[in-house]
Amino acid sequence: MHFVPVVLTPEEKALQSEVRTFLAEELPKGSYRPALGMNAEHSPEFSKKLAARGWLGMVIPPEYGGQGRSAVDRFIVVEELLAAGAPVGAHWIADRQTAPTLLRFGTETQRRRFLPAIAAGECYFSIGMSEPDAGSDLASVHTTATKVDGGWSLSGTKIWTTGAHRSHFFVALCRTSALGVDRHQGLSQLIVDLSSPGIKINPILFLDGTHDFNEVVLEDVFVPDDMVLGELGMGWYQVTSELAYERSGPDRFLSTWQLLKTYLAERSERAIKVAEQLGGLTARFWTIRQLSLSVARALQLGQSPEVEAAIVKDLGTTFEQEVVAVMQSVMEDDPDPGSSSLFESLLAQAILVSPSYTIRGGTTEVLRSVAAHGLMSRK
Amino acid sequence: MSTSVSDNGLLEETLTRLFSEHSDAASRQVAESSGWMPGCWEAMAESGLIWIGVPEAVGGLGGDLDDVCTLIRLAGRHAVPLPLAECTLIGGWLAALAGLQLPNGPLTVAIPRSDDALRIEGNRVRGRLSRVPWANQAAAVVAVADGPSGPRVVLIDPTQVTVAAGHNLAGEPRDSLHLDGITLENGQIGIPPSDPSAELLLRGGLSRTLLMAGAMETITTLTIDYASQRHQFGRAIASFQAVAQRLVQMSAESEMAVLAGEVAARRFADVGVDATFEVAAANATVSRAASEVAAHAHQVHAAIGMTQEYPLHHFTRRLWAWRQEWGSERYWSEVLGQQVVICGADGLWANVTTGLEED
Ligand SMILES: Cc1cc2nc3c(=O)[nH]c(=O)nc-3n(C[C@H](O)[C@H](O)[C@H](O)COP(=O)(O)OP(=O)(O)OC[C@H]3O[C@@H](n4cnc5c(N)ncnc54)[C@H](O)[C@@H]3O)c2cc1C
Repeated sequence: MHFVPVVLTPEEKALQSEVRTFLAEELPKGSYRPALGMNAEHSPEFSKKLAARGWLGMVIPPEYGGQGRSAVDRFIVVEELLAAGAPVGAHWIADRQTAPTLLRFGTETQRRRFLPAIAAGECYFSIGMSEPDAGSDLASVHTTATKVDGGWSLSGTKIWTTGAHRSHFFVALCRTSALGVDRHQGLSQLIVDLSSPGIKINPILFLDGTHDFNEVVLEDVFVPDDMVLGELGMGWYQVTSELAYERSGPDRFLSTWQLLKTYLAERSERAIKVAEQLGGLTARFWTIRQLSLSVARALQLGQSPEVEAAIVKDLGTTFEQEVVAVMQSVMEDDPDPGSSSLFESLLAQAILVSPSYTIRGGTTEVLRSVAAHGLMSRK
Repeated sequence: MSTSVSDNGLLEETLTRLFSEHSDAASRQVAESSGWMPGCWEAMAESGLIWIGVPEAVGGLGGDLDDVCTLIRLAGRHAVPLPLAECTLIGGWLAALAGLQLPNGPLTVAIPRSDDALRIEGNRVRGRLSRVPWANQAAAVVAVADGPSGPRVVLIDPTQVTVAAGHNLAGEPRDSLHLDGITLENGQIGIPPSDPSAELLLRGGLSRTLLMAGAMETITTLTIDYASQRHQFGRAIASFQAVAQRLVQMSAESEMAVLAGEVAARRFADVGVDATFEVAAANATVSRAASEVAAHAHQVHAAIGMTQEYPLHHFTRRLWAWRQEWGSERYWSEVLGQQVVICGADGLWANVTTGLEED
């Protein structure tokens, strides 16, 4: 395993300052409530503005409506957005996860249909992997597609589907042939239009009362043949490489960045008394960002830094929770979720939602066992 | 492992029955939106148990500190959204200390914040009290006000003052009162025998220690049960080493918290403010355990534990709130550290080895 230090090129530095200028104008201080990382407001308007700048679908080649930019360019844009707590919720999954999957595995028709719309900030996706009985053990999904004339009839229940009530499509992992000896066989990914007949989307409220999660009940939903993502029966392989992609970006260490920032903004006088704690956190932010950036560069160079990515996710998400703990101890009092102080209300929100950072996208325990396999097999 | 605050099994049984009936998950969810749990309050008031440990002379039920501590730990175990510690260990005590009669309804007491202060001159009080639990529902708020001739204990009628609604992390009301020079009647002002502030803080800190210990007991049971029922990869998740280790760590933290709370409570019952060392040590220990237990519980439950429907958050959100109320982990560590420094190297071992003694 190796993390190579990254030097940003003059072009990359220029992009960084361009994004900073844009955000300073677009989201002036006090004009919006900053989000805790990717769990951000759904704003098609903002998504389209980013698209107009060429900052969505950046790695999508121009022939599919994208910019053909590098993983590092995307990193630069995304880290600025997340650090600002920008309302990136609408396009987030489509941009981070669906687009690369379609590029890698999608058919030509699918690329032509979806990639330009994703790059335009007009087409939003959710992830339909988890089920009530299939969380970490994703291969045990029960949702089943049966062959019908011209397509598939899909039935089953997906759960924890973030944003399904706002997205246009989701990619459902399902069984397309009966469970055999190897349970990783016979799984496929279907692109499902969430407005299709037979779909019921039931909200599942988060412990702080907010609505992001859903249960998606599928009852004989018709999915045309050309919406089988990639190859029939290759679902397991596709899903595991998809998960590797989503792992190590800035969204895995910046979720609680705003706590440090708003604390400094609001309590500059007290801050000097807790300089040691603030310094400790800043050191970690600085280091983990370097690691994450290094993975982006490796991806750009065509390498597959899977172990590195897993390690960055582990370090990053654990650190995001540490930020919450330290800022809570620095605050001393108990934060009121409805406080007029932005720091206090964001801290309250972070305390409530941060346990999910080491769960979403695969739990720490499972992530570590994947990383362990990778480490050993490289010996 | 036996973990009862005292041997008063009958009280424990009665309260367990009462809380199981009235403070179930569904009622707690309702109470969170309405800001009050009337069924449980009425049952507590009717049985008189709400004033347990408060002297009969001021309208209390009588009983000793062990009883009060049992009540508070059970309130934590059932996440009861009512000012039970406020009525008894903290507020009931403060009112009785100054000979003030208990109100005909809920009594509450402010959780001190650095920028709070109450001044009394003659019979007029002014100032600010933040984070008053259920002030909007209370018949009276009891507080210490500083005056020219020393501290006074005052009973404030919240309907007479400006109340700004707020909440803690568990959605429990924590209201702020602004007292713009209100006039109190004679029965609303009492003279304490000495400045109660130090003991008040200790009682507040002890109350949160016991509440957290109780909540951790429930969280641990809930999590172990869940881990043995939830199957992934064809096995109960409790059988995965990574999960099993968390279960052991959380049980250890939770047992430690219960014991620390129990010892501190008994020491406090025996020696009062001289138990600062023990109360501080227990609160610091329990607050730290609270973070760990909550983190383990959520990680083991994974997604389902993050939902409003599943009851885990009734307990974990309270841990996150309670560990910050009445002195954070940092605050109590500092109190303890200062004592340690003052006692010096030669006093240290003797302090660490204080414990319970036979009556
Ligand atoms: C905020 C959030 C957003 C999410 N969004 C989506 C989404 O949009 N789409 C989607 O499909 N899913 C989503 N999920 C679901 C997420 O992918 C699952 O929660 C996760 O994969 C874990 O599954 P589970 O919750 O069923 O936990 P379980 O798999 O039941 O795990 C419970 C515990 O057991 C441990 N465990 C399980 N197996 C093992 C093992 N083999 N070894 C060691 N430990 C093990 C886990 O680490 C965990 O601690 C989201 C989750 C969260 C919290």
